[in-house]
Amino acid sequence: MPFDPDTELMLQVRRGNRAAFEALVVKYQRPVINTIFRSVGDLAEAEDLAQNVFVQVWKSRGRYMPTAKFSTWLFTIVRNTCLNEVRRRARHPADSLDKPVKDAADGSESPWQIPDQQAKPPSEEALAAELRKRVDTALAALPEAQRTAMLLLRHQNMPYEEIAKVMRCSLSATKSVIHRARAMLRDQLKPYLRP
Amino acid sequence: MRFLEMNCTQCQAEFDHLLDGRLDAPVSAQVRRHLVDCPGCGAAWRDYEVAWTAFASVPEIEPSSNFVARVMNQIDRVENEAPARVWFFPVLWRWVAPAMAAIMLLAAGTGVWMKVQHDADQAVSQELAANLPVVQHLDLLKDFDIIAELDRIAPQPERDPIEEMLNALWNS
Repeated sequence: MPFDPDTELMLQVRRGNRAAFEALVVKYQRPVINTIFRSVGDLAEAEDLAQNVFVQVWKSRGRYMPTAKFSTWLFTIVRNTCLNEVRRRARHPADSLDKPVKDAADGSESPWQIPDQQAKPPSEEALAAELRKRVDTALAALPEAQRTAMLLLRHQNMPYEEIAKVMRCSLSATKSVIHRARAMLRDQLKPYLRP
Repeated sequence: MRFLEMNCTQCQAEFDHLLDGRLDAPVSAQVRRHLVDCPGCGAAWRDYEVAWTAFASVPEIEPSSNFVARVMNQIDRVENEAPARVWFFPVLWRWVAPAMAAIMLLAAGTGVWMKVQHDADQAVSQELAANLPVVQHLDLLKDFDIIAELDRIAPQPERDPIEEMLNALWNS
């Protein structure tokens, strides 16, 4: 396996190096939180679950084997965490993912609570918000495997081979999942986009 | 994959690879040439590319400023809750427990052996002491050490003071 600096850091974490662990947390906090957020739809919950992911990484450090890239191992834990959360919500319908959240600004419904983090001129802001809402709706409509593949491509620019390992399926199956996901995104977003 | 003349099915099958930069230069050029020459594939590609660009353009969520600190605090709590389990148990089970078991077995065995020896010595001493009057009467023993030892462990007879006085007068 070619040299992977994150794998080297994780090998130090395996020896109990907390500074190396903190460096990994700093580097991966954003993609992990964003990936989880797109599955659970709430930022506070996404951060709590992301925290659990990193704690799990720390607790499992003794069992880490550098047979794959660190990011592959990490996002396998992320995916399992998301799947567990989805199953937990299915058992408790009060926390259903499908429960829409009303947007306070215009009263329309969004599948997720999306924090407004950037200040822009009103027209740009409205367009950006609308696009964000359409993308979020399209992403939420994807099956879990397709959504996971899209998020790993988007946030990690992960190679297909690594995505296949995270999703525990063959490379050809992964390519098929990616193609179907993009086709669905295209079909969902086409009415709202000008090429 | 390289085609002399790419058809629409072959071209659209490469859309993901083209989007993700996985095509080598000759195949990429072939696909792009087909996209220019084929309006249908060209339009399909534009829809594909625009949708992906729109998806990728949605800004990422920024983590809370204290997220890393919260994770490290949680790690501290995890370590403080069960540090012994993390490092102590393997040492305990691998080295200390077997060593303690061996020491206890040795001590128990030594104690049993010493008890057996002591009981045997006691039995010998009691037998000798029981036979002392017979031995003294026979007066066969010439080994004064043995006689002295027997005298030591045998209970001393009670002395009659009048008899002693009479013996002393008789011997004087």
